[in-house]
Amino acid sequence: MDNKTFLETLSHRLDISLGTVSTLVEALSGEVARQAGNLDQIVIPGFGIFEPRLREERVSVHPASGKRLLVPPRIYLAFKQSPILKQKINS
Amino acid sequence: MDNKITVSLLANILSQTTGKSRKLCEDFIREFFKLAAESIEAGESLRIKGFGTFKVVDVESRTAVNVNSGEKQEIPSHKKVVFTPAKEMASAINAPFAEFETVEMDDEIPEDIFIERSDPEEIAEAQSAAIRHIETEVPLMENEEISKEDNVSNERLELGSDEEMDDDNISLEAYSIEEANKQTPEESPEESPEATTEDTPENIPENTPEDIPEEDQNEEIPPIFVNYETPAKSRFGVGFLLGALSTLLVCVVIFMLGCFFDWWPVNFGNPFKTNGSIENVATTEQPVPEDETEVIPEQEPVYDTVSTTRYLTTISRDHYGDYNFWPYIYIENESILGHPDRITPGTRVVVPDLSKYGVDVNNPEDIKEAKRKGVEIYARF
Repeated sequence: MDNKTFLETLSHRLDISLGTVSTLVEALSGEVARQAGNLDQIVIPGFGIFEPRLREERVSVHPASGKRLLVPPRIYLAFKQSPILKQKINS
Repeated sequence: MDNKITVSLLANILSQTTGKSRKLCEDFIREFFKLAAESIEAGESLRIKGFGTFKVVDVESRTAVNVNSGEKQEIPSHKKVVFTPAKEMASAINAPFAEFETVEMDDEIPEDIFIERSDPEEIAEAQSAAIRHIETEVPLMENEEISKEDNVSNERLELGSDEEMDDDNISLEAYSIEEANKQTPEESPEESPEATTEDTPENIPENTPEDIPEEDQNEEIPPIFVNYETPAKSRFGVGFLLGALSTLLVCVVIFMLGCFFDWWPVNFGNPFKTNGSIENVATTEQPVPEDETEVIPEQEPVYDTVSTTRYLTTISRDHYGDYNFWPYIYIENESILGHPDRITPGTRVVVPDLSKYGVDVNNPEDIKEAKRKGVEIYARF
């Protein structure tokens, strides 16, 4: 499902305008990003957990040139599916 | 950090940021993920702009060992959901680290850094050892230096008295050179002896003496130091210390000479100005720079000194004919003056030419402007 169909279906189901839906999606993404930046987990029952993981800065070796690189810290947003979702997919 | 954000909390924040009702926000979030789940269940990949992409991928079957029992188990092939955050999302999360970049490292330095990091106790020991080492060295050095300084200060005293003599000589020379300079062009009889006698005190500090005595210093000072360096070397054998001290002494000598000549205008400037012959001075000054071609082409600034009976207003009246123009003198000397009523007696001020500020003494508008400036200056305090 692409972005447009997703938004349209949402607006239809909630009976709100498409504009409202897109602003809400935007706000939701922003909020998820902010919380993830604070390393807080976002728990959605029945769907899964968005779990930010902090990777500390590290020294890695460039495989081709053999030069050592100092890689800055980074937060990865991992997603862990809930058991319910997993069951549904595999059924 | 490490808090769990629930749907209701998220809905609260969302309603605050968007201004929509809390119920709508909560419904929206629930419906959002319900629809997402439905879409994923159908086996489609779901792309939400600004959020990310959900994909269903197949996981092959593999054998794993049960950690507790040690038995081998086979995990059957299954599907799982993979989420990739959108670019916007990823960069928003990593905004605090945005300024960092992957940096190439030198080969040797980082090793040391990591060693130091790993053994903080060793560093502490090394530091304390270093401090002890320095402490043992310092007293010796201090003793040496003190003894040297004693000797040198004695030398300096002697030298000081010598130099004062030298200063006198130099200044005398400056006079004679000054006069010599003047006498050569004065073969044209315009400049009478009156000009030389009156001008010398005014001109000495600004023009010739500053250049000439410094050259003289360079010629005269070295022999002084040759005398002092030879015995000193035999005593201590520490060349660099003496070198440093001798350069210091040269600096002191130059500074003293500078002070000496800077004070001339104060001592000599007053009597002339208080005698009321300022205009004479001004007129006689002008031809002089023409004679001496090396000298700065600009007109010399006129100086005056504030005393207990001579204020900025008095100076203004003497120079411009109206006391109201004192603010211009104040503005010209702003950097050295504080409150205009509390100027220390003896302060030497530059009296600017009023044309510099585009002011005409006879224009009543300009007098008004000057008064306004005066009020402005007082308003600052």
